[in-house]
This record gives sequence, C-alpha cells and structure tokens, in this order.
Amino acid sequence: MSDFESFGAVRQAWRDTPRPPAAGAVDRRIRRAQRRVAAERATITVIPLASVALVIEALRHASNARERTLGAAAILGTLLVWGAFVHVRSRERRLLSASAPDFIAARMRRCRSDRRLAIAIWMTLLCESSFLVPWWAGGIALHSKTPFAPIVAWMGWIPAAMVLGLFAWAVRLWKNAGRELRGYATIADSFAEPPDGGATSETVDSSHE
Amino acid sequence: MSDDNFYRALSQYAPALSRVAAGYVSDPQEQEDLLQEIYVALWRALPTFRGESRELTFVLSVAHNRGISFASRARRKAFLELPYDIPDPTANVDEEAERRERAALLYAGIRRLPAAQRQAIMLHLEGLSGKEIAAAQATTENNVNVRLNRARTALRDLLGTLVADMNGGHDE
Repeated sequence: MSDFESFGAVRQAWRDTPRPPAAGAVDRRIRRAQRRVAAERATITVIPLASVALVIEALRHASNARERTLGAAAILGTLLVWGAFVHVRSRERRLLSASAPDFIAARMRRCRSDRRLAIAIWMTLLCESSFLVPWWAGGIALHSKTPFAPIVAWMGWIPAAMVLGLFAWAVRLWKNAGRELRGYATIADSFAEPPDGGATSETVDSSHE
Repeated sequence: MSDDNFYRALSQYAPALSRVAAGYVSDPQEQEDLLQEIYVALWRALPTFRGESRELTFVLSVAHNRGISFASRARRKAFLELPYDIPDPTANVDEEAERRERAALLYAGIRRLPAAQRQAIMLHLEGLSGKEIAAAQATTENNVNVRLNRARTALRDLLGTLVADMNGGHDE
C-alpha cells in the first residue's frame, strides 16, 4: 500500500467510492421524497383547519359566554400555533446553504421553538378539551342514546382521536427536538474557534493555498 | 422552480453528494436515507442560488448541513459514537478489493473526526480552496488550516502510516 501514502492516493481513495445510485433510482427517490414533502404540507394545512372547523361547529351550539370565550381562545391558539409552525419552517429554506455554524445555530433555535410549540399545543388542547368535553357529553346525550351512533362518531370519537393524535405528535415533537438539541450542542462545540485562536507558521499548510 | 436545473446539478454532483453521505454515516441504508434528504434539500435550495459562490461550494454546503442535521438526529451510529469498523490494512487482498479497502479505511477515519475537522477535510478533498472552506465554516482561513492539520494528525493516528503523507503537499 505504499502508493496510498501520498496525498494523490488519498484523494483517489476519497473519490473511489461510493458509487452514486443509478439515474433511474435517483429519479424514483426524488419523486418519492417530493410526494412526501407535498403530503407533509397538506397534513400541516388540513389538521389545523379541521381543528378550527370543529371548534367553529361546536361554537354554534355554545350556550353561554364562558363556552364561547373558551372556543374563541381555542381557535386563536390553534391559528397562532399553526402560524408559528409554518413561519419557523419557511425560514429554514433560506438557511439550507448557510455556513455550518449559522445552520447549527438556526437548527438549535428551531429545536427550542419546537419544544415551545409542543407546550403551546398541549395548552391549546387543554383549552380545547375543557370546551369540547362538556359539548361532547351534553351533545351526545341530547342527540343519541348509544355511544356507537354515526353522529356520536362524528361529534365525539373522531375529534377525540384527533385531539389524542395531536397530543401524541406534540410529545414526539418534544422528545425529538430534545434529542436533536443535544446532538447539535455537541457538534456546535467542534465548530468553536480553535483554542489557540489561529494557525502558527507550523500549522499553516501551504499546500492548501 | 426549475427541475431541469436541479437534475442537471444532480447529474453533475451526484458522486460528490454520495461521498458526503458516506462521510457522515457508515450504514448503506442510512447513507441512502441521508442522500435522499440531501437531494430534497438541494431541490428546495437551488432556486435560492444567486451565484455568490461557486455552485459546487453551494451544493456541498447544503449537503454538509443535511449531513450534520442527520447525524444530530441519529439514535444509533451517530458519527461521534461510531463503532470501531476500520478494516485491517495489513490484510492480503487483490487490487480491486484493496482499492475499496483503502477508501473504506479513509471514510471510516473521516467519520470519526470531530464535525468541524471532518467537514474541513472533506471539502478540501473535494477541491475547495481555503477561502471557500472558511466561508462554509464561517471562520478564517487560518482556522481552517488548523482544523486541516488537526484532521490529518488525527487521521494519521487512526489509520497508522497510511495517510502519513497527507501532511505533505498534494500532487495536483
């Protein structure tokens, strides 16, 4: 392996592998990824809109000012959380090609904002539930005698499943953001300036110029 | 958004992007996952390219940022926790296998470097200048040189004498 002991051989070894995937496979992968991005965007739009529509529908049956206030707070909270989520992610696009430290700092900010978002979701769900649960209990008792009637599913089980699903998603968001944050903290350390503050004549590599 | 421009860039830089993926994760399946993330990031980022740097620098910055992001999320085989998978350089192998083993050896060593040194050496091996690497790392050229020298020292320690001459000038 003596020829490996030259920079040219090292550079050659660097370029030897791995082989890029075949063009067809790349194309399929890109299309799949683009579909996934489109599906994520649709989900991000549909879930908050459905949540707002549900509360608006419930508000039509609100019997007093307290219920109307709770419902309005739930709608406002949902829209604010949605707006924050979309804003944070749209900012990321501009940072895709940023320098590594800027990118890491931005990602750490995003992780912290994801954790705040998870808390906001839990608070909104709490507010929404305190409004919806009495509505479910009263409405279901009023409209149906059985818990398995279609109207009960539409009024109760499906929205309840959505609330639980959103709660679980927020837990996952919180945990993933925490793990990512710890990972970025380690990487950020390595991008801190070298302790000696710069190169000496010994450490500067003229071949790099 | 121009898909033509994206596919043109992809065909031009696909080998370099595959090397970036291999520089961050060792598992082939994870390399494919990372590569897919890099492609998507590139598809989103390319329309924002304004020609302020070389296109290669832009593309590699996007790819490395994705690699950093991927590594920070990895539960297993995070680059800072890689198992000792460096192959035995003294093993007797034929020319092709030896060539592959050299590459595997180099990639395994690079994956074990701290993130900043690893990025610096990978960009250097792709042919970026000190100034370009400094821009990608938001630091000075002197600091880039420090990182490159530390990376070489670490690689020499990791890989024995095989990359000893990395301290010398390159042969271009």
